Amino acid sequence: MAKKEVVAMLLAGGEGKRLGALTKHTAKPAVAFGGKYRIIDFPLSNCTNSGIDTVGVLTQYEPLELNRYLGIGSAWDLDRRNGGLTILPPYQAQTGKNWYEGTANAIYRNLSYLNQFDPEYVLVLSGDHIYKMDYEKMLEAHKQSGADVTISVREVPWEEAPRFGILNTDSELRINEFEEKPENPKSNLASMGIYIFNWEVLKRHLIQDAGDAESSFDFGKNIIPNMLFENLNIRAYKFKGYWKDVGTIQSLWEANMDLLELEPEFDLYDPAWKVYSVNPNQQPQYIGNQAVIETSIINEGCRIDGEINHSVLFYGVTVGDGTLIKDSVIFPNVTIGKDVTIHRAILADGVVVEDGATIGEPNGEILVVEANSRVSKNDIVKQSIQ
Amino acid sequence: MKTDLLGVINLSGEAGFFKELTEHRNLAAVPFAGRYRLIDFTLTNMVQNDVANVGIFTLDNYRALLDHLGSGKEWDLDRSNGGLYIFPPALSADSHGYQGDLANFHLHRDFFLRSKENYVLISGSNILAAVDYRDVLREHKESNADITVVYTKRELSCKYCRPVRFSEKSRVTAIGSRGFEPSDETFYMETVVLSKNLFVRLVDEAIARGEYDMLQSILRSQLNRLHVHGYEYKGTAQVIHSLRSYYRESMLLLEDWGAINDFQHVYTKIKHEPPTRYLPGSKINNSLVANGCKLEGVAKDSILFRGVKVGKHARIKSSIIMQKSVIEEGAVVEYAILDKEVTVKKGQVIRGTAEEPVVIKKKTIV
Repeated sequence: MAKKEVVAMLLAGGEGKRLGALTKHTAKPAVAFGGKYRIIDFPLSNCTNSGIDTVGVLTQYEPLELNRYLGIGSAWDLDRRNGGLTILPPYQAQTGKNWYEGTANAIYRNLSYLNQFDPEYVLVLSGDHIYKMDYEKMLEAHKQSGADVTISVREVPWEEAPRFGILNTDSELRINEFEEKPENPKSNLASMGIYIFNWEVLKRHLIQDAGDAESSFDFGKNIIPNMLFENLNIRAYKFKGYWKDVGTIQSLWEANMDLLELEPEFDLYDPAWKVYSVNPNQQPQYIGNQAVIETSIINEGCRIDGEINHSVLFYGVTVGDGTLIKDSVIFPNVTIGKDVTIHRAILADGVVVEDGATIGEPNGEILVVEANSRVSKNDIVKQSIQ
Repeated sequence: MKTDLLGVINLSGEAGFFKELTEHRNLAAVPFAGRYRLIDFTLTNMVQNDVANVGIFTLDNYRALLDHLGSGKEWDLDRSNGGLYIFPPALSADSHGYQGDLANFHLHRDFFLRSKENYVLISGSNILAAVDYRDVLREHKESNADITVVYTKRELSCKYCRPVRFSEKSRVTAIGSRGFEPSDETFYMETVVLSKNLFVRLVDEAIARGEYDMLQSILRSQLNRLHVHGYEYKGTAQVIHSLRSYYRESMLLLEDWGAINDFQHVYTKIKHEPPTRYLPGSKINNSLVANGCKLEGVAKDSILFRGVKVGKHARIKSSIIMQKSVIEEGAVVEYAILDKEVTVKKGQVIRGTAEEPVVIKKKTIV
């Protein structure tokens, strides 16, 4: 394998418990977002747009759909002769058979993957955030500061800081303390879970950590605190721009609704920063004579005869006459009959809603309807179906 | 399972048709149905019939086509064995210019000799039909024919189409000149299946006689000597050869969702456009809309290709708006075909009629 200056390791094995029915049979990074995408499209497209062509994707939980989606990485231009996209599941070895036991352990178990590229830097990413970021700029900052580690941070409102992993820095952005969810935060710089490590430093620490029986093998809990204890040069890199953790039903719904703003802060339409995804090869959408669509995002392969208001529709969705969909997110290949009313709901892939059914309420909580379930004729759904 | 058919898409018969949209591209590359180019339909149909080795024989203006096809990846034709081959026309510095499609086939005869398939399937690109090629091959073998041509019934007259006539038992007796009238009943779909050995022999013999036209030398002049069988295709065939037929066939897509559904899985070049945004003020009805559009105005009975922008209070009716065209605030477009990247400025009006739609050339600013 040819030497690579930087290799990205994308942690995509998380279960995403707080997404409830949406992650029952799907890894969180494969959850649908924005009418066309899966969550993992964002970090992968960031890699492609940042000129990073070697990405290891660490999978573990319910990998079938994610693996199928990733394929050989063609959609993100990551089907490369040297490097490209590699799926890295846990595996058996003479030292035993174990699941990945933490973020650091997952990378540690793939040292040989990294070694073959003899990289200078390793970029660690997670597969559960919606954002656009030029990792190349972060790498430049990392090189210029001469740091061993650079952690991407964003400024959060002070009152929200106790909910995050907070990094305390000096005026030069050198990090001197990491506090997980501090009651009395000394800083409002929250870690985004994006790290650039000098490979030799990371390797040494991963090996050291692996031998520590007390460790939970986690970057935030073990690796970074150990590095701070060693007084390594760890810098914060301030990121400005849209960034959303879509780890809960509420935040996933909100992030979808954010796209419907007149001038959305998160712009999917920037030709200079395309978001790539696997194309489902659908025909153009057909908008019928009775359809009324306002402030919505609709993908190809849909047939719309009803009213769509302030909603996001993925590909292959059918909406019958007299139906109203408001403030909702409809995943691929959902079939919605006539005279249906849907408010504030997320309908997962392949759901069928029969004529006359009602889902959700105008001011109710966000409901989720599990993939491939069926809502019978004239049913009134007031709770999530999972 | 792979079929025993070697696919050939012959673009040399299409020159000179439909000038309005073929100034910068060949007919095969004319955009159609919101996100495709005409060739996508035949090419996809071949792939979906497990034809895994396809040669495209071009004639002229093929830059757009080459750009579109690339390595053939989107049609699953980037293969180590077989896959997609694109052949430039048989022209050389000392030749007398283009002589005919047989000269093309003859120049590239190694393509035929090297392939493992025993039968050749030859098709054009501008008759869109879901012909079951495997069934054509089955019938070809069962009827012990030397050559099988595909035909279908038609009720409307068509300047482009050639009538086809039979004797008993579907044996073809004549393939007429262009200019189909309803009384002719059936026309030749420019789709042929024959064994590869026979094909290569007929090409070699014709070239030796100084003949260069496939229709004449391989079909018409063989009708008395060989068994030429007719295979009836019973589905819908859209023939696109002129501005009027293009417009009519496009508008037909809006009449019946079922017809569009046939196109559900047509492969085409991927552009990675985001989904379409409907903003306040948009009112879209009875229209086909591709991805990447930003809609704030009104469109009715129209086809909007990828990345079209429709401004506030703009009105579009019975029109075809190609990729990345922009209809600014308050502009009106009726019965028109806007080629790619056309801009209709604020308040401008473009109006044709159902019989004579206006065509606005690529990148024009109105």
